[in-house]
Amino acid sequence: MNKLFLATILLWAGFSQAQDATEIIRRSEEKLRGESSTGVMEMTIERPTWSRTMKMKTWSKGTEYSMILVTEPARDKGTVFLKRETEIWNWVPSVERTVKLPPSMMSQSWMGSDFTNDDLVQESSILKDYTHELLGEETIRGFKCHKIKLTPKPDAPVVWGKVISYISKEEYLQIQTEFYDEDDELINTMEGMDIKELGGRRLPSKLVMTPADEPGNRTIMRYLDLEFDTQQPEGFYTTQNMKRLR
Amino acid sequence: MRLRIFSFLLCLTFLLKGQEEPKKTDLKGYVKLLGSFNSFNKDYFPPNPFIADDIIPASSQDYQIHNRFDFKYYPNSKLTFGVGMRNRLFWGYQVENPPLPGQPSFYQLLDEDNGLVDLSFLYFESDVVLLHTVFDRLWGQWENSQWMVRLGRQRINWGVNTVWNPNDIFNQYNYFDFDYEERPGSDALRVQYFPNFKSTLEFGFAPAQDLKESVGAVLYKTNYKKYDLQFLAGYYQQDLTAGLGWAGNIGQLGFKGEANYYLPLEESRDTNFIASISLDYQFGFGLYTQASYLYNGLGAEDPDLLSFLSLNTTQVQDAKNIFPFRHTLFTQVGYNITPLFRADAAVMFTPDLKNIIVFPTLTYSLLSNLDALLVAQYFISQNPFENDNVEWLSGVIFGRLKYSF
Repeated sequence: MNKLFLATILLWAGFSQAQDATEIIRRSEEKLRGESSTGVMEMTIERPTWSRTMKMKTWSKGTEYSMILVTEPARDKGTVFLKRETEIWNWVPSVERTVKLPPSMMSQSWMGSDFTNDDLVQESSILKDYTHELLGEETIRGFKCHKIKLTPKPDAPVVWGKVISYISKEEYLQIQTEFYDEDDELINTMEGMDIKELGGRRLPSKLVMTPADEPGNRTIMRYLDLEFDTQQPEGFYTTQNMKRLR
Repeated sequence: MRLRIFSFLLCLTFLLKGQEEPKKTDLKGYVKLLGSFNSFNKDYFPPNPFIADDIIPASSQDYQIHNRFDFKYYPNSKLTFGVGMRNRLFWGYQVENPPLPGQPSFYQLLDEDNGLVDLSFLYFESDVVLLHTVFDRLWGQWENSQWMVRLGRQRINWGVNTVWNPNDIFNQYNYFDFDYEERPGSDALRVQYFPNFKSTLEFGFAPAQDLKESVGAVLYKTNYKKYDLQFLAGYYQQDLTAGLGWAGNIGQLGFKGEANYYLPLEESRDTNFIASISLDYQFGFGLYTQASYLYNGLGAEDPDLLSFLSLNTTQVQDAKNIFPFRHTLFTQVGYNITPLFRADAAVMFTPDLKNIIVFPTLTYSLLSNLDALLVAQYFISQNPFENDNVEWLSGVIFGRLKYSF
């Protein structure tokens, strides 16, 4: 009887801890995403000897739909990426053509940066595609954080072996995220910095992605403008609308 | 006079560019400097007067400065006007030397406008330089949420496949002409109707001066089970044509294809079937790979040297007969060595390996808007004159600098 009771307590404790971890992730995701958003972003790829900057407009609705319009540099201006559920299209303005991207492109670098296509269009959801485990607490750059281990679910469209996420205890902000491959080796670290008011919420306005094995390389993504709950007309996230964006 | 119009347009476009009035107008374009270094294998042929007298030289160089403006004007949310202007200044071997006997001159080829209206202008020609302008886009468009109507010179791009596009019946293009990404336009009316968010019903009509040579067709596009699907039917220069195309995936592999059938209205003409499929895949470490196959019923099963020689950057292919070979295979690998530096290698060949074209490509981003490109096109073919050896016939190396604005 005692044993059973103990087992029940332990099970319940384990369950509630998982619930806690999931709840923390959920709250941090909600902060970040909202039902829909519209933004202006600047991406800088930094390498030891050079750097390149690109500007874009972004729209998203849940994790299912997103659209990116490149506005700078001139060479890529007018290029559009559309993601609808698990499909991705690319509008190439010079050729006036919509190209459907093969699924294997998801894990690839997005326009030469340290972000992957998946990071950009968020095919995988850290809430739905992972199981969550609270590992403890840690202080990162002065923020007291929950340390949470994310393990991908078996059939999730995820390219990582595991992800460690540090979420601030006070505001549920994603302060740092570490991406590991299937051999448990650290591949990328993403830091959320410059916390400020964006679209009525306090958020990291700057995301820095640093690959572990390439010193001097990093990609900085800066939100110049961000608005939440911007309702787009029905049919906004369609291949028909891609060529109309400007 | 023409020169004055040209400079006026130049000034106008720069003025509009400087004007910070967002949304109403948009101007973009580029300036490219392109050098072509041609070489020709004289030992391929048995001794003959053409080669002995250097009518076809063993090596020659051509250069051009190539500028493009793409201007758009949006007077209100329903109307758009577009102008595409291509200006090129040529010098080098082709300008300075007469064409091969019986061939049209470089001037004639360049100034040929296949549209209803002649929008091609040779400003000046001398034995040294040649300045040419063509308006390859000139259209007005009206749209609302369900309709889009565009009239004028435009590109109606119906292709969904990677290398060969049998469905692209309005503006077939030439794969070898890599320096013309925008591709020519045609004088046409295009009406698009969007019955729902997934589907498009489209009608295109490109009249020709000889009405019989016109092209008119209907296309229906939709998305079904993660496949982009399209069906088309219409009239193509004295034939009836019907086709289909798709873009989807098999597992992680991209899977695309297009096919068209041509049924002649007159007995003297040929029927034809053209089909192309392709698979592409990007490996986790970044290597992009692609394989394509093209079947063209009118292509030569055992191509001779002439059909091989017909492949070059100046020839625009015909939609009904898009490539000179019956069976053609294409493979490509590409890799970003750094985010700024990309290397690609492609090979086009007939299955008997008697005709091979090799295209290595290197691209390097020097500055944000300045790109360098090095491309080679090497033509290798079985030599009918000498032991049937497969050997190189001709080659071109292109060096290009491109500044985008």
